[in-house]
Amino acid sequence: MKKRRTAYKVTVLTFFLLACMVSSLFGLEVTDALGREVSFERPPQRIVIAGRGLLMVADALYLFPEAPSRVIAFEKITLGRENFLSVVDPSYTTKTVLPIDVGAERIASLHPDLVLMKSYMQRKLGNSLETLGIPVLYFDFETPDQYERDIRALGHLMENDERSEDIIAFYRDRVRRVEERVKSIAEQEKPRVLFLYYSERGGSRAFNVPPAAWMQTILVETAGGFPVWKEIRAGQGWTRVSFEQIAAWDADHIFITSYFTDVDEVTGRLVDDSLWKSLRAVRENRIHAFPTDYYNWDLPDPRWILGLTWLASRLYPEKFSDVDMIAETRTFFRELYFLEDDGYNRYIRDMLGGDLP
Amino acid sequence: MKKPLMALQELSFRYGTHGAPVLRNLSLNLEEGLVTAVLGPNGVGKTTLLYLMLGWLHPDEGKLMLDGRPLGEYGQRERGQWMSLVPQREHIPFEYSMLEYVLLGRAPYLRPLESPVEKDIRIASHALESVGLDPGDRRPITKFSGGERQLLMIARALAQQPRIILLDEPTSHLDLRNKRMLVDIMRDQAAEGVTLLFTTHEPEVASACANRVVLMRDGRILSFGTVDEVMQENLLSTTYGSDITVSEVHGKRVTLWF
Amino acid sequence: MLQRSGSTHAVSGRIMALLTLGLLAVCALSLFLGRYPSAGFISPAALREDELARGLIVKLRLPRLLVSLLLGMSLGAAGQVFQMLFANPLVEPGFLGVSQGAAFGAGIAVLYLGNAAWVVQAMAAVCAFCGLLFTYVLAHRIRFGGWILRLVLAGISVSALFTAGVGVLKYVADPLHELPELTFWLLGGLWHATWLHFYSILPVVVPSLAILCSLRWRLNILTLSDEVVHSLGVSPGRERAVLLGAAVAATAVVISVSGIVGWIGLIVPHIARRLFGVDTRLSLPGSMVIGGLFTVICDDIARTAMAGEIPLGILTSMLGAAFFLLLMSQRKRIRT
Repeated sequence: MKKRRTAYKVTVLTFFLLACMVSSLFGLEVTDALGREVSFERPPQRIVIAGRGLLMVADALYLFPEAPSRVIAFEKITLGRENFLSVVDPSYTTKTVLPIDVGAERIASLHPDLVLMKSYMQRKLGNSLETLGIPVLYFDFETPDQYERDIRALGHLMENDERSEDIIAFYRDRVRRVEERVKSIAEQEKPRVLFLYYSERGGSRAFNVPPAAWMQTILVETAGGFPVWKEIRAGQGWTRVSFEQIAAWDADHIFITSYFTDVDEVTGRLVDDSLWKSLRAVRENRIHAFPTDYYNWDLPDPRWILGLTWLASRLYPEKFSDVDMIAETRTFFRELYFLEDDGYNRYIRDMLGGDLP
Repeated sequence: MKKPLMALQELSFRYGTHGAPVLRNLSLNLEEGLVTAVLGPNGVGKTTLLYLMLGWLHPDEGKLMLDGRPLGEYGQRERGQWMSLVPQREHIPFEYSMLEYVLLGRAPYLRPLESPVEKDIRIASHALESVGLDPGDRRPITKFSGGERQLLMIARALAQQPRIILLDEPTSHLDLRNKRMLVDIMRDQAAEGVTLLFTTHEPEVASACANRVVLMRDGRILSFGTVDEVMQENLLSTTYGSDITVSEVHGKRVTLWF
Repeated sequence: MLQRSGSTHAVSGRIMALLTLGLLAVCALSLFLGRYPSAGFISPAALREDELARGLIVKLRLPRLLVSLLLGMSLGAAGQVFQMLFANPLVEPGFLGVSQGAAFGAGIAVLYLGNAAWVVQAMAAVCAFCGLLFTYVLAHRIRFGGWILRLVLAGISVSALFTAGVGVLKYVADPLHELPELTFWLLGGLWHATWLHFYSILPVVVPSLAILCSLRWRLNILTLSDEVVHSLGVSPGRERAVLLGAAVAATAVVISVSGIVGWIGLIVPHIARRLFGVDTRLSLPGSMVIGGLFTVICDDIARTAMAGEIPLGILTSMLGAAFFLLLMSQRKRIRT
């Protein structure tokens, strides 16, 4: 009699312990960019990516091979020349494309178990989703430091920490390569760099500079350049500058980027312009079109590492003469997006633009 | 009888296409150098009559002849040099000085692209003086009293140097002293050969200065003639639709309505 | 007394001459002012040596200066005409559906017609005139009130309609690409002004201002009631239409280049009336000169004060509103 009761207790205990182990096996806890700890019973299988700037979150997520099978929908991406996700996601056509500025209810109708967005979308979109009981994770992906942190968070989410460490190592290696070669340059010897975003505002052309905290400024500084526009203390977004100011800065190098027009065409036009011709940087042939494939390399998209390498090679050609940008690009897409040579030739090679060999 | 300066022949007028007729077959002759009063109750069409004479409104039937020629044949500047209007009241939102305001009366003598010159300023100043105002006073006219404004409008009309002055109820809002002043001005102008026509609903003003009186009722002319001929009890009572007694006090005709 | 009026005219004449000289001086100085080679004035000696600076002045500063001058003169004169004809010190030249119509036209061009510079400008001008047309037609259908009331009501309604349209355009615009461009146009600015812009507005602005100037004394008469105007030998409908038409034409054409730059048409006529009196013989040309001065100075600040450009509309609103408060709080003085 006693033996049977003990056996019974042991069985219950064993089952209980097994259940705990099982649940801890499948249970997941991720800390996002806002420091929130979100727990999941099972790893999310129905992920939606939404909100402004979602392209950076999406492109980072797709660095993980598990991404295509777990993402079910994303908001329409309006930046960039083509849709890069259709290249890296073989099941792209089965995904739902949501309208821009989609509301919480529409997202909820897809029954997601997780929504990813940039942290500034919390008030506008994130809070409503959380009220509906849908978990939300926020990311920044704006600066190199944030990249490390956020990639790790994604790694936890995808239960593939090994992959996230590989990615981080990839970035670290290349950043270190640049930093070591330029660290011996003294402050006053650093080339004066002007980075301009060309836009056609209201039908007329405008040149804009980025705020100090943005990726574009960080790239210039990391590559060993001196960003001449930092003195303006630009506000939260792009600040328009007049040609006079551009001339007054008298930069050694001018980099042109354009998100909505052909950057090569724009730069070509500037080189021929009668006023721009008299700028020293143009005269000395140091006006460069910032490269782009599907998306521009100066954006805080995973491509920023290519942008950094390219930038350094333009500022210090002798120090980076061993760097072959095309080879770098191929390596990037192979290791980060699993695109072998034929995939690269088919999708990437013809999309390249800007000042590349 | 002299040829009339202005002749209205069988005028009929209604507002819009479906309004009640305001004037019916109205005929009137205006003799030069005389003061004519148009007497009648409110709403009988006196202002409409003035606007028709001015050429601002066009009659549905009938003709207007000015100095023997149809009114329509006159150019607008020429017409402005012939006739001027003193409206019943005017809202002036801007702080013009008296001289600037009266100077506007010189418009008929200036082509669209021209501005007033010395001569115009002189005439405008003279007009101000003839109504008893000082051209050098630079007070903004928005601060003027009702009586002063009336004088101002007359001065502007005088600056036009017209042959005919049309006045719409000139004394209706004036106190006794200003009424007297106005009547004196009208008499002085007539003495200088200007033809005046004014509308009023007050019989005394007519007897005070008019040479001819027109009684209007229901858009028609009831009677036309001198003060003695027209300002009779029966005629006045019919015009106003209430009992009126006429009497003579100190040689002046007085109408009693109460 | 003839002497008194003459001497007052002499005083006003002197003020006008002074202001005109001031305007010319400010224009000349503005050519030397900018951000190159450093924020501030460039010396004539440096100018001789620096080819880029010379190119800058001729290709950028001069056309921009001329456009801002025409902008200020047009809005100042048009504002005076509107405030006199509508007997309302709070109207702006764009309020008859002109400003909002232009904004709507520019929005359509930015979103649907390809965003080329000349297309935006042309659409803005065309829709500005459409706004006026709608206002005019609507005013005819209103059955009550004098012509001023009818036009004002119609103008407010049409402007509100176009404002709603602009709101819809802002809503459907792509927030990354199209919306900033639209918002930018709405803030107003001359940072892109080239010789092309100048030549495109010249054939409309110069004749319009010439018409307004030559009819400046008649404007006084046209503020009176219709019957009185008629009795003075002036055709009220026709001459008012000519004045309003010239004023609106100049306004529509300059704001198609500059975007919505507010307050100039509102505050400059007030200042001119304070300085020169109500008589438009002086206050209308006065509005033109003061408008030019105000706008050129504002634009100088817009392009020089900071490394980044300040939208002109923001500066004119700030300075205009400040001026307005100053004027309103002053005791009125009688011009002697």
